[in-house]
Amino acid sequence: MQKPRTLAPGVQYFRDPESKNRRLTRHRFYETFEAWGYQELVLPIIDYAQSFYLSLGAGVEERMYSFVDRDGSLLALRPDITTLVAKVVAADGTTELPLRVWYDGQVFRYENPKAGQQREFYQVGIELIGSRSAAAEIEVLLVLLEGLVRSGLKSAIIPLGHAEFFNGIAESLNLSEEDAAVLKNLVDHKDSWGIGQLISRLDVPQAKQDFLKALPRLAGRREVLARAEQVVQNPRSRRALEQLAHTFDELSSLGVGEHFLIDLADVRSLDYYTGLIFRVYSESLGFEIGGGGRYDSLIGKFGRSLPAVGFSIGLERLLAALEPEGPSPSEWVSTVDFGTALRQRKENKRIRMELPL
Amino acid sequence: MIVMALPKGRILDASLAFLQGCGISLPSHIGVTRKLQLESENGCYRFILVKPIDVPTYVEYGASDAGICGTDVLRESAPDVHQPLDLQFGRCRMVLAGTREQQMRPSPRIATKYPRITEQFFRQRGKAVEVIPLSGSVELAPALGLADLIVDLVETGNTLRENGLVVVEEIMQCTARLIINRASFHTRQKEISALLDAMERRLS
Repeated sequence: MQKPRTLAPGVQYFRDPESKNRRLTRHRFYETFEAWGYQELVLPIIDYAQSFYLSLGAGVEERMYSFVDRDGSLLALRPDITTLVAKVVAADGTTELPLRVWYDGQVFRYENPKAGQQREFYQVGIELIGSRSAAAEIEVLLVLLEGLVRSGLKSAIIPLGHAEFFNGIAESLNLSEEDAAVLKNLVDHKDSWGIGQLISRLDVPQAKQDFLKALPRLAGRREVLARAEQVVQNPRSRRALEQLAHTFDELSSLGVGEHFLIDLADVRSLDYYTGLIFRVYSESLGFEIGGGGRYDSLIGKFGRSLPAVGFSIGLERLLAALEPEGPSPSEWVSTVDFGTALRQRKENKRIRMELPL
Repeated sequence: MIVMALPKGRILDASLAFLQGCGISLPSHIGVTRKLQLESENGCYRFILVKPIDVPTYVEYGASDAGICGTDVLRESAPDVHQPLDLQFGRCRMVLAGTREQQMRPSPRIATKYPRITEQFFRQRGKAVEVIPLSGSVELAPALGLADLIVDLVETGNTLRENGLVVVEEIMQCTARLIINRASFHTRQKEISALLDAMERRLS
């Protein structure tokens, strides 16, 4: 009978100064977003479970908090906010393009709670909708970087990848769907050895074998792109490399190149992203702080075909990566007299009433 | 500096020999002293010695950038980490074993240190089993009637034989694996890359 006295697994509460740090950090992002012309979009926490299957795949089913509405329809606590952005943007036909929106709020995923991963967590993010251009991707990355720097994360490291790089390789190998999934999982774990085992039982030409084994190591500085270019022949992957090179060089010429790396073996969420993929890391944290990319087919699933690019940051993880801010020094006027209190408040002094216990 | 978690016990000596073979300078008393944290003399590595089953945890949380652990531990704890290399030592088999006269019951009881692997193995065959998690001396379980079968690691087979058990089926081959934290892979890209190069050279 201890249950009413404890919180449910995977949820937390926050008090000063943590709650204040959360609020201040969020506000630094909002200021950044608004200064770049992004508008706030406030979205519901509950939606039809079907919406999330549509955007995140049926696999999300077991990671959602879902429940039955009175009319029998299956609802869920949102495991993701971008889905809801896509849905409302698709429904609202009149919007002027490009559309720039920012959002924030709790999301819920039924995962084993551990450090940096609770079941309820807080995201802030943006979506830039309606532009297919590389410029849209660069804008989103610059907004991301400014928000991170303003919030105090000076040493963000952001590896860039591209969904079409792996898709092109999988296509050129003519793999069955099952083998492609196995290969993708191995690449996701940068498992060069496992790839070796897989291709020894598949019919893959020798030249491609060496390349596949080297694929997990195609991560690092700009020179990775040149290395990849020498060994990849298929047009889809080559186009991806060209686009990545363009984006990377543009960022370098803008003077922010030191934050970016290349990771051609980033194959997570390939059902979702259609182009650029990026993740945010910091030396001070063992987990990903956030991520994003281009998703040109998602909004279309809700009835209006629009290209889009965006990112989200996990607030708890970002704060874990930051040096905690101590309470700001401040002066208080202590009084037992409400008249004094009101006078002091007119001068905007901070007051603390002394109350009997 | 790279922090590397090493497993105490069965594969520690082989791990140290392998690292030395890769040209990594080891702290002088590692493996002998009771200290659990040691720095290499050139300051490039800090080694921490932990229970094998805990290696993936240290690496997944980023308390270590890299670690060495057996496939058995890796499959059992299924951490979200990179696992680039098979280090080719610490070779052994994970097997299902039982007494010679063992008859398969419809839903047998199975004692093991590897409940997740055991459940997966039988689920793939559509067989219901009752898994009894133990943390050691698993070979005792059938003789005492605690379980019908066991799932455990076998190197030479001596322990099985001495406890009157025979291998019923091999579940998988195990070796030592290198694992790397997902964030460290990028944030310490240069050092991790050099580590992978050194290990790949050694293995080829």
